Amino acid sequence: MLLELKNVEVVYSGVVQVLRSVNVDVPQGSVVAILGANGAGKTTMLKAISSLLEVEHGEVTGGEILFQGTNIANSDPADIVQRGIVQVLEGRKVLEHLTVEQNLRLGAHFRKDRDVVAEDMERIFTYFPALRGLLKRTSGYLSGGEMQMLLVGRALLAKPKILLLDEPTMGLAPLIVQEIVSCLKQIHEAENISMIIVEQNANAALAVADYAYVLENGRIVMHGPKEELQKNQDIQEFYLGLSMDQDRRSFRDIKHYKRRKRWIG
Amino acid sequence: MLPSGVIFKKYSGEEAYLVTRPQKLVFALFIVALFLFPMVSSTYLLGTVSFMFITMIAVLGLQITVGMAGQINLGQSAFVGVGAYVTAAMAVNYELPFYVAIPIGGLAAGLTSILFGLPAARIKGFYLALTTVAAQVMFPLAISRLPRSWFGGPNGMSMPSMELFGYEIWGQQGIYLINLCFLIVFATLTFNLQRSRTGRAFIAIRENDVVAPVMGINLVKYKILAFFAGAVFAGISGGLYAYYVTYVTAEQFTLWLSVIYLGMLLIGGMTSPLGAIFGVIIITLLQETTHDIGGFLSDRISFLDESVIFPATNIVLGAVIIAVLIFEPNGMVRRWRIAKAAYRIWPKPHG
Repeated sequence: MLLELKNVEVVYSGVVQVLRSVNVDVPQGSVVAILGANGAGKTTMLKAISSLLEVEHGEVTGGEILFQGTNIANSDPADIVQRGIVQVLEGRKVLEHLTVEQNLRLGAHFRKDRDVVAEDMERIFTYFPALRGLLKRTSGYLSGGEMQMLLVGRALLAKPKILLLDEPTMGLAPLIVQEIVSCLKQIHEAENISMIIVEQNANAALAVADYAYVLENGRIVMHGPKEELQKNQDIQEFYLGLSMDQDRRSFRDIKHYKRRKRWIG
Repeated sequence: MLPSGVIFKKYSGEEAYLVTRPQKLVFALFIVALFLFPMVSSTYLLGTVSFMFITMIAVLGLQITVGMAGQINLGQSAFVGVGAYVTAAMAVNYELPFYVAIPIGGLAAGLTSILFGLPAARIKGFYLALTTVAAQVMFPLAISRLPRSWFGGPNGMSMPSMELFGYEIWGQQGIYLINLCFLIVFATLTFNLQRSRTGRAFIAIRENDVVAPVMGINLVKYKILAFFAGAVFAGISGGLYAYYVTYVTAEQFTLWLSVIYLGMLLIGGMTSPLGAIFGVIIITLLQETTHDIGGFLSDRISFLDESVIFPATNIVLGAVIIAVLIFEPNGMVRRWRIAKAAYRIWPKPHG
C-alpha cells in the first residue's frame, strides 16, 4: 500500500473536530476519488496528508497516516514534499507575480539534479503543450485552465509518487474540464503516479479514478470501486445528478445509508 | 518588454539583466564614471553620494527581507547599529583592519537578527512588525548597559581611520571609493539573489505562505534566512557608516531611521533591488533640496528660524511618501519599467 489513512481524526483549534476516524487506502499506481458535499472534510483530509493544517491551527489528533509504511502525520510539510507527496491546492494558487517558467522551476525547488529537471520540464510540455508558449508570461494573467495546467505541471516537477489534487476542475468550462481530465489520465498512465482527486464534479473525478470514497460530515460513509459506485442509487442522485424517476424523490426515500446506524467509523 | 531583435534560447538568457551590446557598454561606462566621479566632484557632493551608498546597502538588505521575502522589518537601523558597534569594537579593541572588521560587524548583525527573526516562523504582518520594533527599542538600552570596555557604554566609540596595505585611506575620496566597492559587491549579490533558487523561494513565501511549503520550501528556514541576509547587509552598512562618521553612539540608530529606510524602499518599489537604489536616491535628493531651500528661507525670512524650517522638511518627506503610495503604490521602479517599455515600442502607443 502506498498511502494508508488509519482512523485519522483532525481537530481545528483544539475544539472543532472535522475528520472522524477516516480510513482510506491508496494502492501503488491507483487513482482514488474523494466525493462529498461542501464542508464534508475533503480538503482537510488532503491537508492532513500533506501536513498543511498547522497554518489553520489544525492538527491530526488521532490515527496514523502511513506513507510507504512510515507515519507522516503532523510532520514537516517540506519533508513530505521531498518524500513524494505533492498537493495541488484548490483555487489555482499560482505565484502571480512570477512567470510561468519561474513557477515551474519553483516546483523543482528542492531537487539538485538540474539536467533531469530540464528533461522533466520538456516532458511536461508534452502533456500541456499550451504551457510552452506561455513560459515568459506572468502567471497571474493566465486563464483558469492554463493556471490549472501550470499547477499540475509544477507539482509534477517535484517528482511526486502521489499527487493530491484538490478540485482541479473548479470553475472551468466543460471543454476545459474534459481536457484536464484526459491530461490527468494520460499522466497517470505514462508516469505511474498515484493520485487522490477531491472533486465536486463527480463525473470528472470518476472518469479518472478507479476507486472512490464518499465523505460526509467528516466520516467515510461509502466506498467502493468506480463501477460499483456509479451504479449506486445515492451516488447517482446526489453526485451524478441522475434520477431514476421522473420527479426527484424525497431525501428520506433515497438516503439508504443514513438509516443504518454506524457504530464504528 | 524586450529590446527588439532579442530572442532567448535558454532560461539563463531570459534571466540576464544586460542583454544587448549597447546595454552592456552603457553599464560599463556608468561604472567607470562612478569610479572617476571623485575627480570632478566637490567634497560636499562626494560626501553626500558616499553616504547614499552606505544607505543603499542597508535598504538593499531591507529589500531582501521585506521586498523579496515579505517579512516586515521595522528594526533595520538597530541592525545597522549592531554592525557599526561591532565593527568599531573590532577596529578599536582588536585593531583589525576595516576589511575584516566590517564583515565581522555584518555577521554579528545577522546573528542578532535571527533572535528577532525567529518569531517570523509563527507570526506575520503587524505582529511581526512589533517584534522587530522590539529590536529597535532594546538596542540603545543594551548598548549603554554593556561593559564600557566592550562598546564604550553611553559615550559611544571613536573610530580609527581605514588602512589598506599600510596606507591610510584619507579624505572623502578614499572613503567614497571604498563605499562604492562595497555597494557594487552587495548590489550584485542582491540582484543575483533575486533570480536564484533561494530568491525564488523568498518570493514564493511572500506571495503565498500556504503554497510555498507545497513546493517543498521550508518556511522557517527561509524566513529566518531572509532576516539574516537583510541584517548582514545592514551590518555591513553600519560598519561603513562607523568609518564614515568616525564616531558611533546609540542615538544614531533610531526607529525613525528604520522608518525612513522603509519609506525609501516603498518609494523606489519593494519588488526589485532597483527600487531600493531608486528610493535612496530620490529621498536623499529630496532631503538635500528641502534642507537647501530651508536654509535659504531661514536666511531671508526673519520669523522662520532653523528650529521651524528643519522639522518642516520631514513634512515634505511624509507628503511625498503619501503621494507615491496613492499614485504609484508599486514604486518608481514600475514607472521606470513602463518608460523603458514605451521607449522600446516607440512610435507605437502599445505593443
